[in-house]
Amino acid sequence: MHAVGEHDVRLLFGLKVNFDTLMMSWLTIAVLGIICLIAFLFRYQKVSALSLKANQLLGGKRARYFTWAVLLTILITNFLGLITDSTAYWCIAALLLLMLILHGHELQGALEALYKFLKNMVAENMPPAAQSSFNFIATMFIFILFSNMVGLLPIEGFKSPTADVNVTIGLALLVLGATIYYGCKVRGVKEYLLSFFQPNVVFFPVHLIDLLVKPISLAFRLFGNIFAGEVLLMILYYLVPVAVPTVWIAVSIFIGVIQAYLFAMLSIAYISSATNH
Amino acid sequence: MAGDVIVKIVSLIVVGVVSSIAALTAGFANSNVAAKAVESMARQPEAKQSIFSTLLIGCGLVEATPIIALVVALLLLFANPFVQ
Repeated sequence: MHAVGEHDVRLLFGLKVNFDTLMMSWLTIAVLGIICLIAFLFRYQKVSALSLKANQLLGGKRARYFTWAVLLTILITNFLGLITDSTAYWCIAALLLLMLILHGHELQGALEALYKFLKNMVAENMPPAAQSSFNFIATMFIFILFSNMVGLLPIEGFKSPTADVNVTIGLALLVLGATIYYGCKVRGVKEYLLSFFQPNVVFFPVHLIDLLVKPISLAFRLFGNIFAGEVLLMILYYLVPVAVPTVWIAVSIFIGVIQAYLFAMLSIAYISSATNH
Repeated sequence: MAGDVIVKIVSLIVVGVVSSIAALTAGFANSNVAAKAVESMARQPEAKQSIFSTLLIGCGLVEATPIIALVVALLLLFANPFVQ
């Protein structure tokens, strides 16, 4: 088993960066861009003839189609631990091409559902003055969601950007900045700064620590979940390459979605509590 | 015995202790949250969706600290800074 917490450190503009994490986060952004581009290109397509034919071949009901797709995915992922480099690339490329041909017309609908879900989440939980943070929250949610998933692909050298503590602390610092910004914007700088001394001057350390600890806990929660999941996945590939990593990949997908939702929800809670105390 | 071997033995024991305490705490905490959620869902079934998402948020919050403990144990096991 090669080193677990080790990063490829290089100098970039005079600063040391974890270059593998940098490349993986660029890859996540590229994947998101490609998905949006494909949804845009396929936006007004009708259901393709191939998709109708596949549906007809498999008995004509959507539920049966879905069951076959799930069984096929489980069958393929059972043997992920035995796939070597280039076959993993070809397998994933073939799967993506197949999904594109059969479901490309639904991609825009899926992205619109995601947008509506996020818009609802922000609209319900934030005061009207802080609604402009929707862009920030939505971008963060989608970035965390996709970067939690990227580390689960069987390609050698792929690991989630959020499995690096620097990335999650960076996101938490963004949330801290957003908290202070929206607190100052909605309540005025003087009133926001005075609220730190509010019941009594003695409460200043309490409020300060409260302000600083919440984003740090966000960072370490996300990092711990994703990093521990990936370490366990690596151990399972080493011990039992067949069938058992499939279960852990399924659990890891679930945990990735939950942690992205939790990060977004908690940052919404922190921003809205900074605006209406 | 060389100092390196003592560090390895002690960190191995500590990994076991820390992981089991983290698992114990996570189990008790999550079961409390889930029990209260199930009870309130039974009391008011039409609020099921809202209670379910609060359940997920609660589980994510209470599992944060045991997972940080687990990451400390994993660091001692795989990337121990006191060895080599």
